[in-house]
Amino acid sequence: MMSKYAYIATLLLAFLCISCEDANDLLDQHLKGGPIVYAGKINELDIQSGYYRLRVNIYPAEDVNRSHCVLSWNVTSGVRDSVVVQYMEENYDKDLECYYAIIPLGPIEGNLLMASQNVDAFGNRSLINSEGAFIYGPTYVSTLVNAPVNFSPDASEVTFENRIGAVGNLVSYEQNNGQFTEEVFVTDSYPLVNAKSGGIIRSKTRYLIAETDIDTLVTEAYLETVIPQTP
Amino acid sequence: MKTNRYIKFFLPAMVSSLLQVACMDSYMGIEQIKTGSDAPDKVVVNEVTPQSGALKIDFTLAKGNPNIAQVVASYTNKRGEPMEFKVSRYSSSILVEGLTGTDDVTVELICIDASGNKSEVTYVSAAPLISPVELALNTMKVEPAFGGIKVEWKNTSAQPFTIHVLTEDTLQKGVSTLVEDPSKTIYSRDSVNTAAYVRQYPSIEQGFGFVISDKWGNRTDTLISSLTPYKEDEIDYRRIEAVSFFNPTVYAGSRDYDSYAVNSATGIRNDGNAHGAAFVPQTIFNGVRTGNELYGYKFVKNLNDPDPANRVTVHDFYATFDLNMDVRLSRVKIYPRTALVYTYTRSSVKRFRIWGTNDANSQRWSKFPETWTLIGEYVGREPVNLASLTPEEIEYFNENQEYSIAEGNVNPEAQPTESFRYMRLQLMETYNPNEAFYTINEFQMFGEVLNKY
Repeated sequence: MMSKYAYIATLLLAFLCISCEDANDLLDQHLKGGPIVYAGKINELDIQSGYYRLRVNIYPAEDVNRSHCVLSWNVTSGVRDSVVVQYMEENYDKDLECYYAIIPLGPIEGNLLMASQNVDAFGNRSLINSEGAFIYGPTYVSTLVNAPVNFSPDASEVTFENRIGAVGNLVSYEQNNGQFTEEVFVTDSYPLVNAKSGGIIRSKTRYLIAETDIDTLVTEAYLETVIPQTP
Repeated sequence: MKTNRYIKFFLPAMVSSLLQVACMDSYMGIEQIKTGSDAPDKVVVNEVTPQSGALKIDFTLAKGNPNIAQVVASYTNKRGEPMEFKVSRYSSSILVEGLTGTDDVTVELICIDASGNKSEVTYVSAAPLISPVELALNTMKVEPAFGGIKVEWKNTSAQPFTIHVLTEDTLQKGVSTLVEDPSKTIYSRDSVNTAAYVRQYPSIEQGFGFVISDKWGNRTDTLISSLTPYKEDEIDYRRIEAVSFFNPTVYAGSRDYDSYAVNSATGIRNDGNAHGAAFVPQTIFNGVRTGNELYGYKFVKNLNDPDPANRVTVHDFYATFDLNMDVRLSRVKIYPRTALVYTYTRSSVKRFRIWGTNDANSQRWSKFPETWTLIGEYVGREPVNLASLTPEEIEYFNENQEYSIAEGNVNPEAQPTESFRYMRLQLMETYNPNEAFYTINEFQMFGEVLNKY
């Protein structure tokens, strides 16, 4: 019987202990340092694709104590790489009114998630802003095809079929002396001078897949087309 | 024995509950945490840009203080009330709104840190541009309209404000005063739709008042006009009868143009065929605005051609009526099918014409259109985004799809002020041109009735 009362008394004391604890004391342990200070975040991250590289345009929020920005990405699963972009005049694009960085990305190609975080002069970090990007590489280039070549009736001029994203063609052709001309970049039609009838015209097509891309892409292999024989 | 048991079990529970209540500290929320008492440096103002009823203030905060939480701009408005605007430290400009007049206004700027410490005040004195409500009142034009008045104003900066309409009321016998009619309140929020009709008023000279207010509590003086609305009656649909002089038919489907569309004797286009007896043209004059009323098919050329590519839909659909009165129309309202699948799409009418003639035209059933008068041609509105209709767009289409006979006419050859007894409706386009038929629930008409038969 006594042990029961002892049990109840202990329980009462426990209640007393819990109920009289000041909630503010608990909160103060966490809040005494004041609220968390965040650096001003990056409002917008605009990424331009390139061949094994990216150009990242950074539009940061206003923050007088802004120091630098950290751009980071996954190299492989669990392994991250990063670069620091200083908010300095040499990293500022006056036309686009933003800071920017061109990042070489070695063997990475395809889709990539780029994370950005600002750091202020006191080491406070901002919220993270992430943006998807696409990096061109050999795998993508291998899917590009050359634009077919068309000849004028007398085979004195060549034109190239329009391909979406194509900006022109690299052209070289076999002349009557058996030598190939120097490769030139042709955007429209191109006259053939001393072209060998039945000879070869070599061409590669250059693409700018999106207008904002920083690199053009050239097809891997030459298209060889026979120059038609004319009477 | 039983009482002892109660004491043994319930007494401790009650005591512990009491203890809990007794020890509870009243919770007043999280207090401002003070981590310092130094006031932050004052805000530096770089530029002040006057806007309509506002000042945009560009500023810079002092470097080296990461604890600044916000920037506060304040001023006292003309009613003596304090106005306050806040931005976080992640902004470099603040918009101070609700200003009226074009006199200099003094705005106080301070910044406050996370501990609640306030900086010294930076004073900004500048004159805003004329406010949206003042501009609207200064440019307001009020004129009589059919059955009411038309109000026009300017809202160049597309600011939201309210136009309160005051109408005459006799609260004391013999004394007429202007009293606000809340049901006529006009809301303006963009720079394009800056005209509205206020109806329905008798055609007698009467006073109207207009006061404009905004969300900042600004209220303009009252603009008072004395106007006589043009006479307008709702045309009584019960007098209107569909007539069969142009061979309307009932057939549940599209019909071949060459076989059915043209009267071979007169060369006049026949009226269209309705889907069934319950969907004939008369149903647009029966007062029923819901459900499924007129359902009329477009004729199709080469309907029997096995290759559908050779079939050509002729979009014009005619329906003819005797109004049994001479009328001069002021406006018409179309009530379409109200299901969302018909809203700005499918078989709802997008373009139509009204033709009219009267008894003096003895060739009215044998010569069309040369002996008839084109009263007007009208085009329905398009929504901004059909895939995402706003409640206002849906309400306009279903409840307020109104066409002003004179101002809404898009055909320069039309004569909108002509009176007529016989009316021929020419439905010209459906919102979805691929739809094979037209639907209308009710065609409500307003205007002046000159004679009744």
